[in-house]
Amino acid sequence: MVMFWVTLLAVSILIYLLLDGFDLWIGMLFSVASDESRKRAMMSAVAPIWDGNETWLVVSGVILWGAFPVVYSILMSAFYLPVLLMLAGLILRGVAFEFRNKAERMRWIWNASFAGGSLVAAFVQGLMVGGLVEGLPLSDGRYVGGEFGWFSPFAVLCGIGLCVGYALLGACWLVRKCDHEVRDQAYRLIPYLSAALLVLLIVVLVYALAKNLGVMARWLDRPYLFVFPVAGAFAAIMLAASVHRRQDARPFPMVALIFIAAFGTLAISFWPYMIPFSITIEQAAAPHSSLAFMFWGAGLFVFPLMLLYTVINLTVFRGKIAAPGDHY
Amino acid sequence: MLRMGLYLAAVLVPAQIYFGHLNGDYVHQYQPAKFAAIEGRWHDEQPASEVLLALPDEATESNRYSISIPVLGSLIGSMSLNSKEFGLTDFPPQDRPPVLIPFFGFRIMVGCGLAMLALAWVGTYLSRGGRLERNRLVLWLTFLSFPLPFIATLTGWFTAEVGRQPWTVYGVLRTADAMTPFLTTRAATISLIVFCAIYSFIFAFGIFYIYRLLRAGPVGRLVLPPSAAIPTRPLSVVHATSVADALQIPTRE
Repeated sequence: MVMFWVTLLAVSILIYLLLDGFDLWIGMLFSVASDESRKRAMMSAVAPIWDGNETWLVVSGVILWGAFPVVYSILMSAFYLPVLLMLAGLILRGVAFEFRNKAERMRWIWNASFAGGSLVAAFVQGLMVGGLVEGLPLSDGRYVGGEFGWFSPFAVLCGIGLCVGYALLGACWLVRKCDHEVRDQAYRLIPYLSAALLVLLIVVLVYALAKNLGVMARWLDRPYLFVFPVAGAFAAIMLAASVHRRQDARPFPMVALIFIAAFGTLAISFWPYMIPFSITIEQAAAPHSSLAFMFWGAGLFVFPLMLLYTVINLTVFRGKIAAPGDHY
Repeated sequence: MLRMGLYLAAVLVPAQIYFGHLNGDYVHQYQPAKFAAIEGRWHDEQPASEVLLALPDEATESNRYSISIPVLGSLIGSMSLNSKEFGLTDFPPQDRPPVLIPFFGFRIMVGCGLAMLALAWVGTYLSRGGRLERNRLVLWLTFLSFPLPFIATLTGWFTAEVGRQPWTVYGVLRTADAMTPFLTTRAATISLIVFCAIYSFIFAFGIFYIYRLLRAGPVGRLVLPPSAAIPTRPLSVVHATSVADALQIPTRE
């Protein structure tokens, strides 16, 4: 039962990263797109699906809260302010979708909300991952670091890294969904973003080695973990090839593979710890009765339903967007 | 559109009131301290009277300026004419919820519910005779009633949550014990301010946009949703240009 919920948690987080990644980046790209028709095209590319993508964040939080309450309490205590910022960013971004179309003189407010909210949310998510990897000050199963205990250059680096990663996802999504100038601009961005991501990943790696973070010892202990970066490198090569050949449908799955490889690299290298390196999965799990209770409702029905509607959503809206009219 | 809304409300508001009553039965049975606070009942009464309006005074444990109906309390609480209803003094002072908020919150919620019921039924009756479009008073009241559901929902939640204090899980876990040890006043204040600021900002604009939609009034074109409407975006039902036409505002598109 514990393994079931760990798997579900990992899958939820992964799906969230892939799905919300690109629509967060499209928000960030918004401030760069110059004219109204380009903005509309970008909105059209995500408008039908972003709502469903957000639900995966909610379900990740809920699984954490219900099945792994110890981890939830530590994460929420440690990252109280970052989570607050992320929620603020997500709220503003979500509202901007609707209000943007209704406003005329005030449209710039909603454009700014959309772009700013997406940037803040993406940056904070990376910040949290970085803080978690670096290690949180814990004592007796409780967080004791104060409000800014998570703040460090490493966390900021991870924040920027995630923004760049989302940017890559978003650019590939635009390539897949849009036409003409928007797509061509996205194509031009991909090589720069990939290079930036590579540089950041190397910096993170060097930093981790230099600070002798616990996670590095893991790697040397378990050489089979290297399969993940290798898969990622392979996907990167395929990405370069598909961009070179202008195959619209290929870049996004390749970047998705890179993300999965990165996720595997990170998450599975912590096994069996959920909070490196203090709390194992078994310690963090709720009592069996809670897990079983959640299983019969959320595990058996809600989760497959979510997978189903996500697949339906992405399948129904799989083609290119129509020429942007005055709606999206 | 207006007629459909009124008919739906005429059916759903009574259903909601019924479910609210069922909820009240549940509270009466499982959370007697909250029920006593909602009713503003300080001492046990048999048969119990129903306080319509009063000013509960916690210092003297009584209600001032009270307007009450005898026997109705027992009817509402236990569906009988002479059941004993518990008062707040049955509970030690540290187990009592604050009285003012549940008391007034409940009455505001019920007031909103009854107002919506009256509007829905009067509106339905008038529209059956085709007299609704000519009755300015009812149309204006219907237009002005759009905050009522929000107020009712919010005050209902205030009643439920504040009435349950000092318990987080009634009878099992006190709120003081449930608090996370890490949370400083400063962090909690920051998060409260941020949430309030964001929600005020969004609600201000939201109300403004809803107001613009409502000001366009029941226009014939709005009966069928325009082809531009998309199910995932509720505000797209009214297209921006049709609103602008109705208001005769030049659109800058």
